[in-house]
Amino acid sequence: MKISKILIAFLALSLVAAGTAWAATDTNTLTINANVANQATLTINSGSKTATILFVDSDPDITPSISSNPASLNVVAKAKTGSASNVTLTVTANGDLISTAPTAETIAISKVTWTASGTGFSPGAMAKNTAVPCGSWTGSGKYTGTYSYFLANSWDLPVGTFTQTATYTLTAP
Amino acid sequence: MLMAVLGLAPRASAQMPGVQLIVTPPNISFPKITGNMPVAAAPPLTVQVVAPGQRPWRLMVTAVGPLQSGEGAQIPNQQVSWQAGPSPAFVNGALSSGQPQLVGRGQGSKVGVLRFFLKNRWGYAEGNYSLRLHFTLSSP
Repeated sequence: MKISKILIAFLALSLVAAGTAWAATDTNTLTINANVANQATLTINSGSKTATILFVDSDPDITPSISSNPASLNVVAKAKTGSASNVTLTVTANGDLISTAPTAETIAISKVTWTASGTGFSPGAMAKNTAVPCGSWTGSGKYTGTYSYFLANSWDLPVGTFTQTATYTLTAP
Repeated sequence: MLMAVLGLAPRASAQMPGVQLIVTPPNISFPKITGNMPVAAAPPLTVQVVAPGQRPWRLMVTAVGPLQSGEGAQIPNQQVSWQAGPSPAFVNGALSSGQPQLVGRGQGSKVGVLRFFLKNRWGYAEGNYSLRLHFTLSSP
């Protein structure tokens, strides 16, 4: 009886030992390659490529600085570049504010300013035919912010319906 | 009873035919990652397990580090996953840093197809990346 118990125990140990050892193996090595391309994508006003803001005439004594309508535009700048590369966003006004009726008039575009929110987005003032920095980041990423625009109001502004365009440029070297 | 004990030893040390693993091609490339594409898909990979009879086997894959560019930028290899078939022998999965992941298990010879996917993120630095994977086929 005693000898039988020992034999059973030995058999069990042998079976367990054989079951846990993976005795044959083979290996292969695979190399995976990926290319991440340089890229810059800019959208303004909820995913659009264009936006329009309006400054409504106001009493300069009451409203020395006219807020735009809409009050702000959201901006999303996306870039893939080197990890230490400087990503920049600039805005260039394509001239002064111009009215043709009832008479030809201009308002200096520098009277249009903006404030900014969001990491890397910066405030400033429009400049005719000059790229003004309005955002800066380091490396790849998706950067989200807003700009709120203002027109300096005064009694010496000429009468008219004024318009002008400005171009935002995102650069990821 | 002593003869029965001795009878186990020859079984434990018997010469079993080996297993063989063939993975082709040895290199695959994701398409250029651009735009808002959520995922890049590499061309399919053929995995051939050669095992005699109904010999059981297990296939694991281990990533050797992250996807790394020549400039030192890295993409975590958890961003890489695969779809595999035919099931149930071959299973879907995702890479894990330094941890072997199950690709398949079965009995006897089997041929499977794997397709790797890389998630696209705006946080990736520009560059050419590479990653080595070690496939290990084991059989008792």
